[in-house]
Amino acid sequence: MVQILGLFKQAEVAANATEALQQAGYTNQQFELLTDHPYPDGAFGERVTKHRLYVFPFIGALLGFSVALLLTTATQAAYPMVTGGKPILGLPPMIIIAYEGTMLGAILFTVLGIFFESRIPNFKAGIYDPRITEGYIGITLDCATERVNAVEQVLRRAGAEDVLTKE
Amino acid sequence: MQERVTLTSTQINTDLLRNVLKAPLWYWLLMGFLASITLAGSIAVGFMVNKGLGITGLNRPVMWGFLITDFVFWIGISHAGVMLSAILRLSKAEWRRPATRASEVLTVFSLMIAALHPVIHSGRPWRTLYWAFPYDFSRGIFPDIRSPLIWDPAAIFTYLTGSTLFVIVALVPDLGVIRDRTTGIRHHIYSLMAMGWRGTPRQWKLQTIAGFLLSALLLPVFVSVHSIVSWDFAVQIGVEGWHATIFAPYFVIGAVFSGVSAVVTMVILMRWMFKWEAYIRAEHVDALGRLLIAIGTAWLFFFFLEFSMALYSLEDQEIALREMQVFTWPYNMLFLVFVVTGYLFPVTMWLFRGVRRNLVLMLITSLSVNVGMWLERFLIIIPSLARKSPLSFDWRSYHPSIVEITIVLSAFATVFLLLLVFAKVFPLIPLFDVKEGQTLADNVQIGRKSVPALRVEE
Amino acid sequence: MHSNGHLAEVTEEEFTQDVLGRHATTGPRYRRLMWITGLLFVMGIAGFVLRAVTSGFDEREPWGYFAATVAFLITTAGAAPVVAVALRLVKAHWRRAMTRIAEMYAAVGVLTLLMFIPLLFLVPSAAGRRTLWFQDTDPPTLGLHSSLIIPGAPHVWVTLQIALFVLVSLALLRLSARPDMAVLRARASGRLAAWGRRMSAGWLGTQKQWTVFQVGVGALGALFFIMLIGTVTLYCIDFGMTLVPGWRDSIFAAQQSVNALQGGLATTVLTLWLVRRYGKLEKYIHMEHFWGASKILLALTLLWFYFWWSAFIIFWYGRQPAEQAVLQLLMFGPYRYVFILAFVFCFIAPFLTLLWNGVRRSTWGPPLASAFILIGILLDKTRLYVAAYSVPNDEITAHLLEKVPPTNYPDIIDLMMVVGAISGAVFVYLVVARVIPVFSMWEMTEGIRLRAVRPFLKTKMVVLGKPD
Repeated sequence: MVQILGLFKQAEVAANATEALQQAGYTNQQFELLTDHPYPDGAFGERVTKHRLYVFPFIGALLGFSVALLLTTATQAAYPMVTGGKPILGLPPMIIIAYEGTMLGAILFTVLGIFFESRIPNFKAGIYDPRITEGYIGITLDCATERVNAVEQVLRRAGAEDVLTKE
Repeated sequence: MQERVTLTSTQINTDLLRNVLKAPLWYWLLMGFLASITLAGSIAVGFMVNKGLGITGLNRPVMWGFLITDFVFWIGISHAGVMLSAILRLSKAEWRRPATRASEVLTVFSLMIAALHPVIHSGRPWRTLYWAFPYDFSRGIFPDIRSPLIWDPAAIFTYLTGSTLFVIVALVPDLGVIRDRTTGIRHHIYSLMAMGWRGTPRQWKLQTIAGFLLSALLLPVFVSVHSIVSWDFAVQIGVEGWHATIFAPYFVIGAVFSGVSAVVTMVILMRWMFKWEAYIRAEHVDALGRLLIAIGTAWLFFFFLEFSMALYSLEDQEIALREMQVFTWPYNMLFLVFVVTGYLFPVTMWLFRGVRRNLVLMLITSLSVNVGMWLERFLIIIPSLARKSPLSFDWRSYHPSIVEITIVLSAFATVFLLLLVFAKVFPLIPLFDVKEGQTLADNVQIGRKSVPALRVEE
Repeated sequence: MHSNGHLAEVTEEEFTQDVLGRHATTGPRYRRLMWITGLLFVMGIAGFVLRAVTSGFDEREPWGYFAATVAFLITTAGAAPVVAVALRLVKAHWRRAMTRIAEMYAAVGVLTLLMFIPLLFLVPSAAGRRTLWFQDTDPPTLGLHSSLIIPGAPHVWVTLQIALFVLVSLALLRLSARPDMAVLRARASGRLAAWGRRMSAGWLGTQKQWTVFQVGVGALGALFFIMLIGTVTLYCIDFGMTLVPGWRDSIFAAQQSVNALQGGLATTVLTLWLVRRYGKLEKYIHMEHFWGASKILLALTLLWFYFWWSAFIIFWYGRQPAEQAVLQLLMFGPYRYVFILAFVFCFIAPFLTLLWNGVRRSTWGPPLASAFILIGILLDKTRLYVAAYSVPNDEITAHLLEKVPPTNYPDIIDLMMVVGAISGAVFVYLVVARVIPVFSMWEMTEGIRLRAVRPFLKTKMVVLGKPD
């Protein structure tokens, strides 16, 4: 398989190129867009992103809460000293620590989730060109060696400024 | 009035990365100057650790002084980041774009500096670790979680971790830009940090959701942090003026007030230093000014309640304390300066549109708020402690020593220095956010007038 | 209709025609509701007369539920216009369908004001006790010498505050409805047109009139906000907190103010749902309106907990006798079940409802949470005010509450008054909705003008104008 990257200077042209690719028999499951900033969903007729990020904070929160509860209970039970007439296992202070633990867990897992769902780090992610961060829109797809020329033609005809390939 | 500017991606990259790619000489000189003040502060800390707390102005019964005041102050400043960036993100305010990262970074650095203060203040910094964290399994001694002094490190640790990760997550796409614009060793380092970012729709989608989700998670943490700082004071009953139910929201709103003012100061300096006139415009500062009027006035309401409810108690000690704060030298002078610089002067000024759009005046007023808010913390802490309680056998007032003054001044220099270092390595304005703003800008024609409009998803 | 429910393509003319058409007629169901609420209102008045005759105004205890209802009305209907004020201030586009629905609650203020008058006879003067007015105190407070008397404190000042509040909210409604009244004048017929002529007061829609109008609506809005906070603050302190010796709670007024914002928004959202459902206005009231409101409602619900906790933790830690007594009286003693239910309905139930994105992005989720909140507020005011009014007269000047009074259960007269007052508020609203269009037509048409749907690359996007 060969990776092909078409570079487009204008978003409108790139949007039309995705249509040309679809006419050439490639579904939006097969090509990928590369841009330098977020575009609204479906702006290029690309595939819809499905993710499970929202599960992560809940798992993290549950873990964080449990750990914090365990820690507060265990340390107080291990060193029981009455202060200010308050119970050894006083709920209000435990709630405060447990709250911080819950939030910490939720945040840590969310960040993990973001990286996991974004599929980074990934240093062998495939074909790329620095012009993308200068505003070019990249359309990339994998195709069989014998079809490279045909795809390149489609992309160039659709207005690609440049087409790169990578084995 | 919105002064929109149309910019290309290349132009945005060039402008916003100018300092990262090649900083001018004055920048290095400024960093050197600030580093020298930081060094002076470090020496003062070393001296204090060596000689003991006796070289500070702390005296019985005033055992919390400049360092704790400064701790509360910097915790306050650290509320800028999440308040602005989270609330404006969640409300999808367009004018957030140039200010989000700056305020998040300000959060991280001010929080770090804030957290250092009580550690230094303890006089024996190495001991604070086992006071705060439950790791001393060998001796079986654990922190007492019923003490707010234990809640504090828990909250600060959570907030610091969360806000640092928030900054890092939002930095990844911009690191990709720097990676593409650098060569040699720098290219390799930035490639590593960019973690293979390519800018696929999936990555962008996650990046956008991450902004909202982390904002929503950090908001309740930020509220808890300053609330807990206030409970350091408020849960005890021995010191007059502190045991008030309003302390938590009063501290939070004060923190937001001083934090957002600090962001105003910061964005104006950024505009001047990095020549970002096209990015940080009068409309942004104007919007921040209007927001500050609301926050400041809300703060005034809480201040009023705090003060009037203290008198409401009709207890001799409490009333005597307020008389001391308001009528006794030198606190009366500080109180006057606090009220004028903290509220009356800046908020009155901001009522005028001309002022809100004048960067010099906005810089002066935003700095003025923080003079006031620093004094507010001082006036909450010191006079209360300086009162003679039935059990005080020895009663002196508080004068900060040169060591404390040096540490406090160096804290300001250090935060500024850290921000400059950050701005040398990373862009202070998120590139992709500005680019997205450009893409979403549109106009609606009403009669002959073209009204600035925004594209939103159906 | 689009996926997230933005206003479907309706022209200004179609919209105006439609709203005026609906406004001209009153359905049988609407009439029936007016009758029911009207009769319940009369029953409430009967309850009030009975209470006055049987109990008089010497003891406060029999009036606890009445005072709680006044607090409930201030916190819900009284605060509702704040939704219009705040959303106009931040120029939220989704406000347009709900601003008038919120503002019309100003009319209920008249009922609240009338209900407030009897309470004046129940609360003693400020002299000799802890109040906000610091008079006749020993020691003298902060330069205010003990011989200094603030005349009429607190009665005159709280009355003045509430009266001004009601006046300002009515003025806001009156002003903001003016351009719509001109539409009635021009396009309605009969009495409605005559009414429109009177209330539009020479509105022509000149550039100058619009400019003055915008400034006026903004300024009155700001004034309303200040008045609302002032009213909530003075009422809850002077007619609540000061009646319990030793209850010194600096957050209380702020907490009640935040609760008023929550209650005002909940009232608006629930009314919005009812108007949509029974007024068949699905065309103009969409998921986006509920969605926009739900996020703020969630934040305010979290704030309810935060403010409650901030007070609780201080009392729990302080453990002074006065604090223990207050905790007993208001939370864990005679009213503990009411408190637990209030906690559930003000915080836990709406929080668990609004936590989910799918529920927030629905037309039923936010109104459900709002209904919880309104029930919660009624319970919360009950545990606060009924408890406060149950403290006997001779203990009011004490330093702390020595003996926690027992539970004051409602009798039939209390129930008549509570139900009657709430029905009265609904009745007043129903009457007003017959004479003022339920949509702020000038804002809706402005919204139609400022909005367009345009293609963007391969998708379609809504373009929203943001004028200065």
